[in-house]
Amino acid sequence: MSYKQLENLQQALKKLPGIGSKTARRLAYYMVSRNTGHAMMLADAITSAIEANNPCPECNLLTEGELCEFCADPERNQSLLCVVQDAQDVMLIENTHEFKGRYFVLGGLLSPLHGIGPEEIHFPQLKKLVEELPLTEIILALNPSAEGDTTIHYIVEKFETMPFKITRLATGIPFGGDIEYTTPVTLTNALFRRYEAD
Amino acid sequence: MLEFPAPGLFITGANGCGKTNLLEAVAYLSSGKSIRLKPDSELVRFGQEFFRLSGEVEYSGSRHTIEVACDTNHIKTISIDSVQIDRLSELYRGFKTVYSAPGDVEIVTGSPGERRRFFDLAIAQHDVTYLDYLRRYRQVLKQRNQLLKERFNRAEKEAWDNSFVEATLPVIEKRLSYLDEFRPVLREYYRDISGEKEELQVEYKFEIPTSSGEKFQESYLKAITTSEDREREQCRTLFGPHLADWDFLLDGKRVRSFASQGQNRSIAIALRLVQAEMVKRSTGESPVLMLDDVLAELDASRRSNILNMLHGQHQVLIAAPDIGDYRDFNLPVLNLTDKPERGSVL
Repeated sequence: MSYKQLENLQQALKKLPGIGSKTARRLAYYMVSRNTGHAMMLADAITSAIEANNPCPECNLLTEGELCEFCADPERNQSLLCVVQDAQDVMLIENTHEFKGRYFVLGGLLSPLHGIGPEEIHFPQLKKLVEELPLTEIILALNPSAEGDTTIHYIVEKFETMPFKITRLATGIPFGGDIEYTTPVTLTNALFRRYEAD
Repeated sequence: MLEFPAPGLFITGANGCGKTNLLEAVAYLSSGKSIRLKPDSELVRFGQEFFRLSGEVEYSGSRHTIEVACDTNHIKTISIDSVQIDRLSELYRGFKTVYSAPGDVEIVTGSPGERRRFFDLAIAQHDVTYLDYLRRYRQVLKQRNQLLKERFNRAEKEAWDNSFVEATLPVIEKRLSYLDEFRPVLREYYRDISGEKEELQVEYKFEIPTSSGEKFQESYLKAITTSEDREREQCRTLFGPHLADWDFLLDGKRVRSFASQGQNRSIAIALRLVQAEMVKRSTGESPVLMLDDVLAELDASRRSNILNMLHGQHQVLIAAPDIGDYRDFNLPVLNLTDKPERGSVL
């Protein structure tokens, strides 16, 4: 007896983030044998979500409309642009309610080891957006990793002659955190970039 | 269970009775790795599935329990005071040991990689930020080497060059500042070992030409531009801390080309003693110093000079097959030949 289709389903599930062989097998059997109605609904939902969502042509955030909600909103501050690595970073920053400008999603960081160069991080698209907006500041909200720092170098270098300022997120001790549990280099940075207490 | 008295212990016994194993177990508790660079799977007793090691040690003014467990699948868990740690560097920041073995002569006579390993680990013991900077440097280096194998655009290369120089600077600065403190202590210790006869110097060898007054940053950026063609041809980064070396000079002459066996061995021991002294200076606490049969091939006067220098300095664990000259040193003696070998040593 062969279960070729079931095997295919298991393999497909296993490729999802956070799902291992055991979970994949459990899910596959559940969908096919126990609750086929639910599984068909899931299949439809996946198909329609994929069909309905496209990257926003301006910022790369996924959207069901022509433009994403941020690019379409005239109330957003058009002179501020926040550059992030992934779409989920947009939600994190939105949750702070502190940023009212526009976003741009790179979709990755420069990393030759993963074959990621300037084209892969949508740099040409970023450049186009930057030229269209009346920017006073770009905030590079990228991870302070080797790849993040290099991506920052790249963007800074490319926009050197542009009339806006380029900033990056501060590194330091987490709010409500404990100096004791801060890594030594983070502490060194925090000390180096200390600010006046008032 | 084995208790180590405060001044230390003299461990003796026939060859193969487990002297080195005992020292290695102590060293393992401070580094989470085999000091002889053996894979963990080889430390498991033949026919067994796993090894466990636990020790009670004193550092930062209080007692701590360190436990290591490792199975044959290389899955290793380390905990300090019953709290599991995520990174070996956490272990490194606490309990400190310095291990001197006959193989250390390679630091003096071997390839530059041996000296980099010695200094990198010694600096990491001395400065808690060093390993993090070194890790960043290695990551950037890996990325840059990959880039050199591919087609890239100018700005992308410049971005990686900038990251490379940025990651290089803290590593070099920390190596140089460590050496500034290390050098005079080494000179003094070596003079004491050789009986005031010989002058030992150590210098960091820059792999790029640096003219005085010029900042490293400028020298590096210059080196990057001048060696670009060669780097592309060889598909790798041709300069940087990963290729640096240290030169030892004895009375002004290069040690590697002219020193005797005895001199090389004395230098190797001196390096370990200075490493221990540097830990003491930065943390205010003496590390556990282990001498694994390193004095055997030295002449009697050097041997006794070294033993005199050790007096009251650190907790010293000495392993040697015969007690010989060590008798005058007055350490408690543990003879492993007397004891049937058992799994638990600590």
